[in-house]
Amino acid sequence: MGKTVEFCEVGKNFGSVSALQGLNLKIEEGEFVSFLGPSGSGKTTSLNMLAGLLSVSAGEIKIAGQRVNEVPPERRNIAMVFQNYALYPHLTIAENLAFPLRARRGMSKDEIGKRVNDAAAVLGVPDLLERYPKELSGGQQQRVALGRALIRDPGVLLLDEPLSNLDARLRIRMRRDIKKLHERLGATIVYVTHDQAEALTLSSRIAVFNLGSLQQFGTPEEIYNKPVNTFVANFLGEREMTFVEGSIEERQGRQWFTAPGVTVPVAHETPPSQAVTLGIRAETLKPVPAEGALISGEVREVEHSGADLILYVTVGVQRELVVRTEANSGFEKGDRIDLGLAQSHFHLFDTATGVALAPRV
Amino acid sequence: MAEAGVATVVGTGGRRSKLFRVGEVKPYLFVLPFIGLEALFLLLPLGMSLYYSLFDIKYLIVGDFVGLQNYFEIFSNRRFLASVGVTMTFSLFSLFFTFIVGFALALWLVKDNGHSVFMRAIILVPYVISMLVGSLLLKWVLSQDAGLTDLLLGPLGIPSLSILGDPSTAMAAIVYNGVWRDSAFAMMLLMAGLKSIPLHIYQAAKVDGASKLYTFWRITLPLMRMPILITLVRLLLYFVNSLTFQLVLTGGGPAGATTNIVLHMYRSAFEDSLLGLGNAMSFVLFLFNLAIIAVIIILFRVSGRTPK
Amino acid sequence: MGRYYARTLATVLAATCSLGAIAQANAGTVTMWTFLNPENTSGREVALRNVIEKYEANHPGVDIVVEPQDWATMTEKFVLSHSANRAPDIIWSAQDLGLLVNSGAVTSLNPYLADWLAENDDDLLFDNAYDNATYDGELMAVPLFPYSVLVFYRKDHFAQVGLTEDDLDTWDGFAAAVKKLQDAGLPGLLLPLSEDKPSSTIATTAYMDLNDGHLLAEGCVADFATDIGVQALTLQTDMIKSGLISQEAVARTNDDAWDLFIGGRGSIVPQTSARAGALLSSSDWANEETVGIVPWPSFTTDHHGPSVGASWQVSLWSGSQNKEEASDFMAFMASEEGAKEWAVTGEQLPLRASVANLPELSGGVFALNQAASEALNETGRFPRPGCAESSTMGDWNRAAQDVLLNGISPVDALQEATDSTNRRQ
Repeated sequence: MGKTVEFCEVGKNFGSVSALQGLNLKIEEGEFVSFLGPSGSGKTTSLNMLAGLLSVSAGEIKIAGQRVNEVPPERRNIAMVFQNYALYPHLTIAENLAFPLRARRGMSKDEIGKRVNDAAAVLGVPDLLERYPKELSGGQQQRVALGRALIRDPGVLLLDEPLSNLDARLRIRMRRDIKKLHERLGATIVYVTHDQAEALTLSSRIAVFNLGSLQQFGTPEEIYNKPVNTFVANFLGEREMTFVEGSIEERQGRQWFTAPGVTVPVAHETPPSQAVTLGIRAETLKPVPAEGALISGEVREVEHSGADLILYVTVGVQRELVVRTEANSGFEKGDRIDLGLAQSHFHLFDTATGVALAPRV
Repeated sequence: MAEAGVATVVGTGGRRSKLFRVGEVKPYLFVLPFIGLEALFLLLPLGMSLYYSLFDIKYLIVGDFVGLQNYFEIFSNRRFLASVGVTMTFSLFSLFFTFIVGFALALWLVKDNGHSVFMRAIILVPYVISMLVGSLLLKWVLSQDAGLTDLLLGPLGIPSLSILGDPSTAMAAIVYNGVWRDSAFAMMLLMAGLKSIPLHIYQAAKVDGASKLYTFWRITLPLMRMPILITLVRLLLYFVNSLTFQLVLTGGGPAGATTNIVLHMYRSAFEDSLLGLGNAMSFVLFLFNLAIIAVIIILFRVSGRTPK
Repeated sequence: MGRYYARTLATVLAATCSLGAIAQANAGTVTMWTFLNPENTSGREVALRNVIEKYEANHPGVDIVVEPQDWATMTEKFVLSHSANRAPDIIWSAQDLGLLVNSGAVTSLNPYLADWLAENDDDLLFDNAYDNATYDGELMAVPLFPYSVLVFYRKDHFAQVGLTEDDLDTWDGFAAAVKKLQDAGLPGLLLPLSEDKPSSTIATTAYMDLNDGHLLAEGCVADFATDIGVQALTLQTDMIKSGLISQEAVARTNDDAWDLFIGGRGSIVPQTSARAGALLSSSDWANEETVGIVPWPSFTTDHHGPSVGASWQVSLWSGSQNKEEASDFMAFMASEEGAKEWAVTGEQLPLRASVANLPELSGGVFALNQAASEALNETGRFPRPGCAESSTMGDWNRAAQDVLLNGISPVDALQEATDSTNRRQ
């Protein structure tokens, strides 16, 4: 059964360089948590400290409530899948799978053999047992690496960008397999990735990292819909968010966000006249009839992406917004377009700090 | 390869011999100079050595053709047979200790930090100085009258002993000389091998619960097969064919206890000026070397499966 | 030896090696190979320069050209050059004269120097060196730097325990002297008993003494496994067994023993007389008051033990086109003028009685040279012509080692030494 994992004020320094500061995080039993962030954000450092491959500079890490800072990796009851799989090249697949069982000793040969066969069956590689890692495809190696990690029912399973070396389709299939495995095994999983789509689809909660500190920790919905700052808002979503800098004005008893070419009503907890930034995702706006429109503009470019149509719309002077609409909506380059709000509210941020402003309820 | 070749032939529609097509002669032209050099500096001397080993040569004058008589003389000579024994004893002891010490040093100093770089430099000193000097130095260090041994062993209650004057301690002295010099060489070869093992393999083993010892036996050693084989072959050939230690440190003595095949050969050829006999010995030594390499390679083939 | 035809290994080498430097036979130009370089500043080299300058001043038409060589390979290189017919007119050699004579590379000096020899016979010292250079009545070389392996001892240590050099007359006295030195806590006897770089030892000296002064019989035949061989070998091994000689001696070369003596760690050491000068210049304790040279002991008091003599000497190339001029210069090198230059500037043993008594030759190295000269004249025994003897000392040392360390009987050990020596001839 999965174990809890706790980071309390954890920091890591490499010489004089600080790679991680003040990380506080608690992962519940059996949870699937993703560490999401760009490279250098501290997510892999956090994972390696949890694995015991890196020492902890400050704070403490607990697994199942026990401090593990000084516990060597082999005694933490964890398993790990590495980005490049780290299969033992001189051992057959069967020997690779059996390695964690043999290394710990105390298990009978028959039991090891049974577990290896079971794992191979679950992962769909039963006929590869006598081959060497080199003779396997990337996807097969990935399965073996997973199997080796799971074979001894670890309390915590760590995955370090496990899918990044696979092609796009295989990646999506493996995503589902991993999710199924998690449901079956119930192990606590910490999953490091820089791919927001992976994080959103797999996780029960996501920890977003940037520049060595935790930005936000929450469910995929929270992270996506209520990003705490411009970094999180921008990092989630398939496309970059469009940011418009402007200010808030009170007119006719309502709050208006105004910027050259863009004036929209908002309802946020913010004093008037403060410098704010409006964040617009592709799915924030939708085409509406002219009378209910908030913004109008001209379609500059049309991009087909299968089921959707992506429109690049110019509003005001040289300002470009991205709008996702249905494939059959029939817009063409040069069309005039009227846009209205597709969601409950805009994302609004304090321009100076980047911190999100909460919508007024 | 074969399929590709056939396809080419069919594709060009020709029936010309594969060997002499322009495209396939070119590669041989590139290696020709090196084959030539090899022939000039290896095969020619080897052939000459074999040729002259069939003659009775004194000083530089080629005498009668004597057939295999030089070879018969070698194998009926008690001292030559003793030198074969000395060669084996010296080589195996030196190989054993040099390999162990070299491997230990490589494991100790494989990390690239300031301490390791400094220690590596110190350990390399005996390897980079000329052993003509090194062995001479050791000879004086070990000398009973002027050396350090009495100074160091005296306080421990060990009576004055003549290390170089006793057959078994003299053998130990040249083994020590060999280990002292070549551990650094073994360290470098093995360290190169250790560095080629990816770090994440070790990390995976750690997380998989392997102890340091288990990791060494199951991960490090098997992945070091090739570097170990190369190191063993290089060291063994080096020890079997060593001359400096024996010539400078012990002079082959006392009572022939450290006279190896090479020193025996050197004496016969250049001090006794019996070049025919010396050539015969060199040819025997050559075959001996070939046999050693063959044995080691066969041992490695037999001892484990290697993934393709 | 005579059966060997002249197809040498080295014709190939000689053709490829850069021997082109040898001047073609120019009338008036005499070329010479020696290990000395007249451009350098050591005593013997300065002496050579002076000798050449004097000779050229007296003989305006003659040009002496020296091509300095490595002494260890000079003889073999000369034989190769002879085969290629491009050798120098004059060649120096020490113990390899037999090889030069047997290969036909050098020619008899009788046609050129017979008269000179007759005129100078009375003044020339070291008859044994001349005998050694004479093959079947033909003089094949003129000796220049004779030397022999004698016994160096510490006069100061001897004085401390009341010993004199007369105590070294017999082997019994020799052993007693070593014991006395040891008992007084003074350094004892250093003997080179390694197979490597050997020299005369107690055993070889005693054997020569018992064998009419020769190591090898007529025709270069060794026969050591006899009663006298065993007696000689046992004399030495008993001294080791009784502790008069350290067991470490079996690991010592001639150079090791000598270095220890220079370092003050020995009171008696056998060494070639040629190293007397080096001893005085390389140690701070050595001078004519503290070190002396005596002949080897023997079994009786009526004579001293034999010493192995040798000499650097000059020979004439058989293919030389300038035999007259070359032999004339060779005679000049052994003339009174030449001999004086070698003895005074070069600090070598005086070649002539007239030179030996010069007032310049007193004190320091000259005192040691005088003692060496007398001992060499009296006890010097040169190896039989054409016999390869230098490695035989190593064979004897091996025999001693086998007796001491391998438990082989003296007779069997000497039989192996006999076989090794005979195989080499």
